[in-house]
Parts: sequence; C-alpha cells; structure tokens
Amino acid sequence: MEITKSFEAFLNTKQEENLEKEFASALNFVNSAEFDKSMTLQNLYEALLSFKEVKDFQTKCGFFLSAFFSRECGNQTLALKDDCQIDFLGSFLASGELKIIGDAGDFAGSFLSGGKVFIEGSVKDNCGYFMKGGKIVVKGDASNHLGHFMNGGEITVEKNIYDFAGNCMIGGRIECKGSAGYSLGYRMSGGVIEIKDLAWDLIGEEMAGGKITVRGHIGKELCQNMSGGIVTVREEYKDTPKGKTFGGKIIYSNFKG
Amino acid sequence: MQEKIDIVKLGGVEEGKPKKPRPKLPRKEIACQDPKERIKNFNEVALGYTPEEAVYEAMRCLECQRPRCVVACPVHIDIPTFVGLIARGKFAEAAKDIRKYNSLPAVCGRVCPQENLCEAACILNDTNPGNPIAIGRLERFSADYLLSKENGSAEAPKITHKTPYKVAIIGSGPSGLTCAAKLAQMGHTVHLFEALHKAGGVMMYGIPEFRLPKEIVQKEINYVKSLGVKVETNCIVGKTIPMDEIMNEYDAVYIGSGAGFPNMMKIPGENLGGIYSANEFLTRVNLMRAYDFPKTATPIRKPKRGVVVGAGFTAFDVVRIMLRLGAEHAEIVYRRTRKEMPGRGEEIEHSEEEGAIIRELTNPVRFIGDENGFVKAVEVQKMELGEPDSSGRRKPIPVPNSNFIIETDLVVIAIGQTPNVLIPSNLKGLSTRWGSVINVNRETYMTTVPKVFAGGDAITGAATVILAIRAATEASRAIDTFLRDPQRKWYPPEVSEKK
Ligand SMILES: Cc1cc2nc3c(=O)[nH]c(=O)nc-3n(C[C@H](O)[C@H](O)[C@H](O)COP(=O)(O)OP(=O)(O)OC[C@H]3O[C@@H](n4cnc5c(N)ncnc54)[C@H](O)[C@@H]3O)c2cc1C
Repeated sequence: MEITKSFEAFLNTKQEENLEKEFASALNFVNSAEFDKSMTLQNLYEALLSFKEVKDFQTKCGFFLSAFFSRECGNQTLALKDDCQIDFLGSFLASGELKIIGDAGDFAGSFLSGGKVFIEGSVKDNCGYFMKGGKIVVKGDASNHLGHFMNGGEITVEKNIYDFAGNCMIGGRIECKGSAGYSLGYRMSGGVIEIKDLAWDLIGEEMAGGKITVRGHIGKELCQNMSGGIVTVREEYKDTPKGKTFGGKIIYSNFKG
Repeated sequence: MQEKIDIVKLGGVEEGKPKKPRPKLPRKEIACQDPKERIKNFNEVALGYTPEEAVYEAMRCLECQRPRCVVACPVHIDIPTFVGLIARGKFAEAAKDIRKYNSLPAVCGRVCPQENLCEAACILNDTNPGNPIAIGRLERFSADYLLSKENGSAEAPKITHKTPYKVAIIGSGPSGLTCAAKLAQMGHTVHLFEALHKAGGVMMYGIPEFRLPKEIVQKEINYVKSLGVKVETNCIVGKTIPMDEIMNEYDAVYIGSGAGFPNMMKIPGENLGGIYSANEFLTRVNLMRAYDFPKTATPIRKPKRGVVVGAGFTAFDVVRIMLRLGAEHAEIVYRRTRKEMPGRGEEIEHSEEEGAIIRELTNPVRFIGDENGFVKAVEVQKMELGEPDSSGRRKPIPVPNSNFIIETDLVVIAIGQTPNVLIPSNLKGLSTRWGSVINVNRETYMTTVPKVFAGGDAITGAATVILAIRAATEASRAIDTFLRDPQRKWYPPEVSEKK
C-alpha cells in the first residue's frame, strides 16, 4: 500500500525540464529508503501499469524502469504487455544487458553509454537518441529518427527502418538488415550507416561527414546539398538523378567481394 | 452488420490457413470506362476491382518479412497486413488497418502516385518486372468497401481520453483533415476553418470528378467529422476571422492552407478573355459544376480548340475536362519532353486514350486576341533540352527562329501554384521563403511563431496528397507533445526548408 502511494506520488511529480534531470530524479527515487528493494523489474512494470491514467505515464514509467534497471544492472528481461506504449525504455544505461520482449515506445535506449539493450519486437521513434556507446539490437522495425544525434555505439535493426535514420548523427554505427525510408543520414556529420536492401528518397541530404552504404535500390534526390562524407550505392544507379552537391563523394560500387 | 464473404469461392485463403502466394501471375488490370464513352461524361474513369479481382491481386503478394513497400510509403502504411486481410476476405478490416496510418484511404487509393512510391519498391519488380502488387487499387477497393458498409456514417473509434486543449486548423485539404483527425483521436478539441463553402481543399475543387468522385471525398470528410472535429466553412482566416483571434483562442494552430495561388506566364496577351488560370477553370468545373450550366449557376467557356500550358497533374486534368466540355481538339503544350513530365503515368495514358494531344518541347511566347478581346491563337517557340537544372530535370533552351502559331479559343495556364500570402502577411514573425512558402522545423513542423505549426503544400509548394498527409501526421504528434508540455525542449529549435 505504502509502495503504491509513493509510486503515485512520483508519477505525479511535474516533469523535469530536461531528460538528464528527469532520469536523475527517477534514480533518486529508486535509491530512496521508501523503495522496496526486493522488487524485480517485471514486478515493478506490472505494478506501474495500474497508473496508466497519470499524465505523461509513458515517459515517467519508462524513466522509472530504466532507473531501476541501472541500479540493478546485470542481465534482466522485461516482458511488455501490448496495450500500453512505454517510452524511454533502457535509456541512460551504462552497463548490463536488458532484454525487452514486445514493442518498445519512443526513445528506447536513448542516452545509452554502455551495455546492451535487446528488443524482441519493434521500436517507435528516436530509438538510440543521443546514444554514446553500448549496443541496441532491434528484432523488428524501427520507426523514424533512429540514432538521432547518435555519437557512438552500435544499433542493429533486423527488419526495416523508417525515415530520418541517423539524423544529425555524429558517430557510431547503424546497421539495417532490411530497407530504410526517406532522408537517411539527414545532416549526418560522422559515423557509419549500412543498409542491406533499399533506401528511399533523399539519402544523405545535407550530409557533412560519415559514411552511408546502401546495397539495394535507391530513391530520388541522392545527396541533395551534401557537403562532405561518403555515400556508396550500386553501380547500376549511376544514371539516377542526383541532388546538387557541394562536396563529399558518391561511390558507385558493384559490391562484389 | 458485416456480410458473410465466401473467401474460398473468391480464390482467397481462410483465416488461420497458410497462404500460398502467386507472385508469378500477371498484375490484375482495372476496368475502365471506354474512352469514347467516358469523354461524354464526368463519371469516374477507373471502375475499381470486384471482390474476385481484389482477392486475386492480394493473393499475389508475398507478404514479405522486410517489406520495401512500407518504407517507400510516405506514411508507412502496413501494406502486407492490409493486403493479407484482403486475401483472407476481411475487406473492411483491411481499410480499418489503413486508417491507422492514413485517414483518407479511398482518396489515396485513387490519386497517389503509387508507381513512384510503394509499387516502385515492391520486390516483385525484381522477379516479375512491370508486375508489382497493385497496392493503390487494393487500398481503393478496401476503402470503398468500408465506406459502402458505413453508408456515410462512419463508426468512429472511441475517444477515451479528452484533454483540455483546443487546436485551430486552417484549411481543410488532405493535410488539414489529417491533422484534425489525428488530434481529435488524441483527445484534443479541434476546430477546422475552411475558406470555401465545402471542405476538402484540392480534393474537392481541383481534382475532377472523373478521377476522384466528390461523394467519396465527402464520405472521407464525414469520417473525420465523426471523430468530433468541428468544421467551419466560408471562413477565411485572416479576413473573416483575424489571425490574432485564432492565436488568442487556441492552444495550438496548424496551417494547412495549401498552395492555391496560380503561377502565370507573364507574357503578352495573358489577360485576354478565354485565358484562365487552372485554379479558376477547375474550381468552376469541379466545385461549381459549371459543366451543367445553366442548371448550375456558374458558366464556363466551352472550347472548340483548347490549349493547356504545363504537364503536371493539373494540366492533364484540365485537358481531359476540355474534351468532356466538347472540345474537338485539346492539347498540352510543354517545354520539356515526356520523360520530364511531372504528371502520373496513368493520367498521361488516359488523356491520350481520350484524344488529348501532347506537344513536347514547345513554349508559349505570346497570346493573340481577336477584335472582341478574346484569345484566338497562341504563338509558341520550339525548345531543346540543355544541362539538368536544380530540380534534376534538363533545362529547356529556346531554338532561335522556330516560332509558330496554334489556333485556340480557350487557354488554361497550369504551370504550378504557390501558397497564398494572406496568412504569412497576417502573422507577425512567420518566416517564409519565396514570399509565401512557410518555413518549419524539420522535426516538429513548428514555424518561427511559437505554437503555430504548418504542413502540406503550404510548406513545400504544390506537391502531392500523400506528402500533405505525411506532414500532417508528423505535425499532429509534435502538436500533441507540445500541448502536453509547451516547455519541452527535446527538439532543436532550428527551422529549415521542408522537402
Ligand atoms: C488539379 C490538381 C490535381 C492534382 N492531382 C493530384 C493527384 O492526382 N495526386 C496527388 O497526390 N496530388 C495531386 N494534386 C496535388 C494535391 O492535391 C495537393 O498537393 C494537396 O491537396 C495539398 O494538400 P493541402 O491540404 O496542403 O492543401 P489544399 O488541398 O490546397 O487545401 C488547402 C485548403 O485551405 C483553404 N485555405 C487556404 N487559405 C485559407 C484561409 N486563409 N482560411 C481558411 N482556409 C484557407 C483552401 O480553401 C483549401 O481548401 C493535384 C493538385 C491539383 C491542383
């Protein structure tokens, strides 16, 4: 009873003005005396689900679970229930391995600096946001803005990724075994993106550095306003109209060997 | 009540049983009205699939694990899922699934340039060239099926959580309607303001009945209304209601005012009688039903020999309308070649079947009037193609001493539209480019004015329905985030040109 009251009080506190502070406050809470130390990640998630109606539940709950995991670390598994999207799962992780069974919400694995987040399902927007290290593996699809502002670490997506993957990416590596949507590597300045199959329009738009490789079909307006970096696409797309470029390099390869 | 569908009889697969895809079969063509017949009426040209045809086509789909079509769709509709539902006889469920991503499936199924999007990415292009799954036709089939079952009164999803926030949407084209629908589903109170007497934007006043029946558009609008969106027509924001009033009364504003201001040629003789902008011509015919004059109140000049300048969606619609108005000769005059034409392949083909003439590498230099001030001819010049310009298309260059005359009694200028300056000039601090195209943040669709968002043709210039829907979908999410916490600083506040 006491515990649920304190959960409610925590979930109802006003959201902090930035994400680091929000995480710090969640971490403070899971480290406080009133928090039941015998809980497991799964118990905690299920207990939190009864507060679904609280404003910003998806964000608060995600931070809560991430803070709890950061405190415990090790290898842990969380089985999600389908009906409620939870954001920020596995964010701010520095070590340990978190396995999520089900579809994660927005900002999964954001601010990751080490450890591994393994997602059995799909992820929504901004997975790996501001990530600096560690590894994220997504078994399903990743929605828009995968690896937004990513600076290090590695993301592997087994199926497709949607638009703006590697948006403003500075470092690290994104690998996709399927296809990518629009604006791959938009404003990217460093790091590596590898797409096994197709990538649609606006690859490398306003790109300033880093490397993008697309092994399958490509869409229109390749490298529009590109000023640096290297984009490698299949030789057979040599005649596909390009955008206006100011620098950087487009390599046409037959991907043999 | 859902009618019982005998899916095995239709050639499909029962639910729960494994599907054996038939990708090697040719793509099912869609039945169309005969060209000789259809130029005598304004009824829809493409007649749509029958249930058997739809199931045949759906059975060709491999339902790939890593579907390329989904990434190429600007709103990432879960195409294999809805096609799979059709193959299993769940036609209404298929349309409901599409509606999760796109509130206007019956419209997009008809007017989206699928041949450059989802269908271009379909994996069957590799193994069975020229025979990708007819995704657009299947989308249309399931959406029409659902609309016919809903019979105009859509069963809207229940909105469980109502928020205290009010959002004003300016413009009821595809972007305004989509943003309104999404925000209403998120529980916000949405008021939509439309300048014209009917909602729908270009879908109502621009795209002709024979390509997009207005009854279908109206049903899609009814669905949006059924979500609780209040639509106020005959209301020009910036004139009927001052922009300040909107800014004071609402927690957020979305500008979806489109690109309704026509570009003109700026050559001698352009203000002669019998020369229309495409917007005026199309509004008279589509919205005011001038083809039925005098039964309707709006007249239109019926041509004998019509000339349309331009070769986009609009130009092809205009030339086909000219033929339906009784023109003996109707031609498109275009300064580049067929290869560079922005119009859809299917429209070009349908226009030619109906008798339209396409004159490539030709550009008007002046219009010549008769003694009554009406156009009687257009002087044109031959062109040749040079190096590609910034749009990636080869630049047309005039050929010296190549001018000649084309006789005509009706000219329509269809060389593109730009957004109207009314809203930018009424909203202090709104950053624009080229005078009226609104600049927005690439991620949040917020303009330089706090709490004001924008999408659709208003931020890109004339584009497509699906891009307008995509902008609205993304903007609605950003608006929701903003409303719940206006201080949220997750996104960089930089503003850039939106593609
Ligand atoms: C003839 C024609 C054919 C086309 N065919 C196709 C096609 O086949 N496929 C395709 O994908 N695209 C097509 N397009 C393009 C497509 O229709 C547009 O890209 C799309 O409609 C843009 O949607 P929107 O919501 O941004 O704007 P619009 O559809 O232009 O809607 C904007 C609405 O805002 C209203 N408005 C403007 N200012 C105000 C104000 N101050 N206050 C209140 N209301 C205001 C307008 O009256 C209008 O109803 C075609 C366009 C034309 C003109």
